[in-house]
Amino acid sequence: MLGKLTWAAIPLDQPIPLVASGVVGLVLVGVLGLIVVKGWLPYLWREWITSVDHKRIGIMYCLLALVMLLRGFSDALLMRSQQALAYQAPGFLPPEHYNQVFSAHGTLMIFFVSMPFVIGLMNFAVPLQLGIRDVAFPTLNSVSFWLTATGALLVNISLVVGEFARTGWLPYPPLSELTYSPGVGVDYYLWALQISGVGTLMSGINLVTTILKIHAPGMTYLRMPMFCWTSLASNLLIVAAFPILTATLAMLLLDRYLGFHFFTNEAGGNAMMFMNLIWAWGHPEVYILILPAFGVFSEVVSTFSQKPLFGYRSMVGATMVICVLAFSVWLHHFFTMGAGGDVNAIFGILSMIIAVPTGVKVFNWLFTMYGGRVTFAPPMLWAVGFMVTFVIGGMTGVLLAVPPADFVLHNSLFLVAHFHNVVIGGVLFGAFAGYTYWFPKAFGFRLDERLGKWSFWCWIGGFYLAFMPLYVLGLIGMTRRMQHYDVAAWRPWLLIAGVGALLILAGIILQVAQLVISIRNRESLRDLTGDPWNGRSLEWATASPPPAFNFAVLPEVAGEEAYWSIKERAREQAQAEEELSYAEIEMPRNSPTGFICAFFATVMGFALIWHIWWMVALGAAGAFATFVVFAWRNRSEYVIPAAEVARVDRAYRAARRKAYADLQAAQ
Amino acid sequence: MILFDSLLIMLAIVGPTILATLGFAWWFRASNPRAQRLPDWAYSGRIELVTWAIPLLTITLLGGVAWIGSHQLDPARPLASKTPALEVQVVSLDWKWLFIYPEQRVASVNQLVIPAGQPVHFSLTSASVMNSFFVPQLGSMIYTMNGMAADLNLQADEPGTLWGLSTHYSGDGFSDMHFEVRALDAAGFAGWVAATRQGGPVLDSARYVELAKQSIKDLPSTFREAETGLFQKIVSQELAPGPGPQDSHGGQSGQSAQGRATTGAQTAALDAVICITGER
Amino acid sequence: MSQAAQGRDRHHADTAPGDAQRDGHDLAQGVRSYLIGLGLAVLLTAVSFFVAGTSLVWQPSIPVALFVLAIAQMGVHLVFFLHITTGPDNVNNVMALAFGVLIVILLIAGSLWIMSHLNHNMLPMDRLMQMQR
Repeated sequence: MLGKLTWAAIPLDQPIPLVASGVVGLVLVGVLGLIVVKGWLPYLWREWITSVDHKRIGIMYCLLALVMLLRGFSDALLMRSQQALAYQAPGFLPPEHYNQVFSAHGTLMIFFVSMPFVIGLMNFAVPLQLGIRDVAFPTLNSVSFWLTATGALLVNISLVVGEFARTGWLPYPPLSELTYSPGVGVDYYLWALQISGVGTLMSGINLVTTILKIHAPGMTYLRMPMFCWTSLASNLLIVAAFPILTATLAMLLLDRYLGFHFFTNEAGGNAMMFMNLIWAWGHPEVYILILPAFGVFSEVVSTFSQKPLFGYRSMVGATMVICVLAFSVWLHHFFTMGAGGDVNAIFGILSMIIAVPTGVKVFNWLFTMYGGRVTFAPPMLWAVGFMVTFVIGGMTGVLLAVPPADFVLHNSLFLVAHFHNVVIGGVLFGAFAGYTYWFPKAFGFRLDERLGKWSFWCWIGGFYLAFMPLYVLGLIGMTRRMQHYDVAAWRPWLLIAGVGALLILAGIILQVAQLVISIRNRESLRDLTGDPWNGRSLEWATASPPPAFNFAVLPEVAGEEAYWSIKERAREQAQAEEELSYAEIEMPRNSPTGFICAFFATVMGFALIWHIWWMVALGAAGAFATFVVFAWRNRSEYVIPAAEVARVDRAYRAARRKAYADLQAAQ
Repeated sequence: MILFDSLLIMLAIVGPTILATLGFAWWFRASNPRAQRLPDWAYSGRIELVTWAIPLLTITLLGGVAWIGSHQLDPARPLASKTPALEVQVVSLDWKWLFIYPEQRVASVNQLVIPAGQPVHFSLTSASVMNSFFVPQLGSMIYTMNGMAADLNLQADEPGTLWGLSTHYSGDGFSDMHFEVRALDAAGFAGWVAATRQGGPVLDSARYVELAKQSIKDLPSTFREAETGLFQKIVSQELAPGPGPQDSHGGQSGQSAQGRATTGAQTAALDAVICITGER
Repeated sequence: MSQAAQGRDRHHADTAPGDAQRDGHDLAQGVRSYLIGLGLAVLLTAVSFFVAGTSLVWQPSIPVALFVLAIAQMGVHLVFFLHITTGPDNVNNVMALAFGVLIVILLIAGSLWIMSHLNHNMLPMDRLMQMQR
């Protein structure tokens, strides 16, 4: 009846996971209880859960990422403290638990922190920057988000019911085959990624279509803000790369569920093919994450230097070069498999070549600052912190791309330090820069600046303290994923790294405090102008938070920096804004399709993991029925009358005029 | 060494870039009255040329280094030496290392003894999951994979005691997959072979099947005689791959994971005692 | 594209493939184009099966013939069903297709190259011969 599922799946005799899952469960129940008691449920259902508004979906993506960041980071703390304690001692985590912790940490941080964070930022900002009302397929967008949430949910269920994979964040066969991993851990990993991977792929298709096909009048490709370009490149990579991941994981699933032999040694299977395919996805994935971050930095550096982006066209070129080259370097993840001198050398050189456009980008940001009027608000701090940190990560990356060097550094903590250097210093700093930069746009009030700065300094200090020792450890021979060790020379470095992790913890606590305190003081942090940073692109041309329809009248774009030129023109002509002619607007209706679909996907995924076949059928049928009902709907839009549009827009313009007048009076 | 060459080449670019970043950011801060502002300056062909040229030239240089290096230092390439290479066959098991000396017809577990000053040719495979064979002080690492045989050529120049490990995560016993490497002079090595031939069990197929079962932190041991062609049998899968975990059969994975949790902790505690009493 | 987005942006956005018919082109013409496509696809499939089983063709050339027929099949699908044409409103689709083809070629050629080298370096058979001196 319940397949492999028994009471034994719940770890009643293991204190650490039990307590951890207990606390998470209590918090969850508490939050749900609060929502029900306060009667917020109808509001949440109406305005958020069923919303197809790209801004709401983007915000929910970012929220998911932040919550998963807490979970992933607590895994990191467990690992750091285990390694600090486990010198000639077993530490407090036995191997089978420690191995789950590092596997879950990697999986969460890549798939459920970095991915949702950058996708959320793209979802929120791209349509606003393009001057349009929504993405191309609004309901599909909601489905994408909820499928990603399903994946995250499945990974977290594994904490309580059963176990997570013990194979590392990429389940290399034969270790991940049924013979060596008979438990449900790998199945949790595979189904969580398959389901969220479908969501990611659909979101990629959605954003590519949006960026290529829907623009405000006059917004030609070469007038799009840099963030739209990097988003385009990133989503093209998603569309091209995620099918590889889905196919590879599907082959592993067939191996595990139906006794196929894609990656086993019998019947002509070949485990090396898995490494080849997973990295053919895995390397583009790196650029899927970092390109949007590059875009955020381009926006931030130019805004806070009060200057246009230096070398816009060469930045566009560099982005598209990266987009193609990303697919030609994947072998550098397994130089040490022994493909021989020719193959290794070619892929090593290609890997270095991809550093060229990246280097160009860094120089262009540098010259964007040159001659600017630089203000150090938190987004800019993250950007400068990124530029300094990222070039170090880039440098160690090029070192690892030299095959003979990789033959002594591969799989060592040097490698671990390198990819944290680029993922934290690049992607995460970018996500935080975007979060602090667009927060006032999303909610209409700023984040507390002082706490933001403190949190930045804790993060960057903690980062250097936690990861520079790992470079040293890698050079003196410590390998990754060690549950315990006997080498005395490693210990002091691991202790320093542990202190660094604590400093990062302080940074995270400060970020949470910043959010809470800013919400409390929102009246004093209120921004009525819609343009708190004196921005240059179209998202700053509308109210904060923007109305559902984004722009009352689609803006006419006349140059590269759409809103900047509008402001310049207004200043030159020194005239009152002309009265706009408002028209009624059709907007897509909210739809519970995404949520219901994801509900059935969760049921199906869970049932597949535990081999509960009737429940699999139920979930599949439910998801299909949801799709059919959605496809047969007869009303998909609602109309906002012109009078309502005019009322909203006039109110915003009046508030903005007053805010600017107050500002001038204050000066 | 190539690593430090590359590092220096990179530092020559990266250092100034970091300094320039901090410098520009500081000098052009809004509150600096002496900074000259260029609010519309967004293009300069000359600077664009330089920004593309600098990384490109650096990478060309490094790419050349990489091309030469990856051919000269390819681990499968035999080392230039007058003495012929010693053949050692390496098998990674769950979770220990087996070293077979086909010419001497002896074998050892978790202990590698090699002659100093003579090149050693390793043929490597795995009995079950992937591992990676690495002796940091000797040079390159290489993956070991079931059904595959990889090549690695290394040489210890001086006698001494070194240390080797698996660098590719392979499961619960991974952290203990390290081994002592003793590089002896020629006479010492011959003496070790002779002494090994005196005692210990024989390594034949049946014994190997026993050995292939999962176990953590086996103490170093030797075999006085190793069956000829054993390595080939392992690579060609004539001897089945390692059996994987024995105490769990799909269904009760949760339960068995708990069962292992306690035993794992116990063995680890035991290991700690062994370490402290100086057994190793 | 959502209906809303379409209605709104029709005057300045590119039309998506498949919209052409709806915009008032002759329906019969559309059906005829699909029928031609279907006929060609069926014909190519039939020829493939025929070539695979026949002894009329020189044996070693059969895989080559199948390869060519497969490419032709892809072309038919692209032109008649996916409406990839060289018209000015189709630049995006053609570019996307080119990108896709480029990536597929990179991936397949790269994988074949890598795997052949790995197999050459590590496949047991020839090495076992050499070891059994």
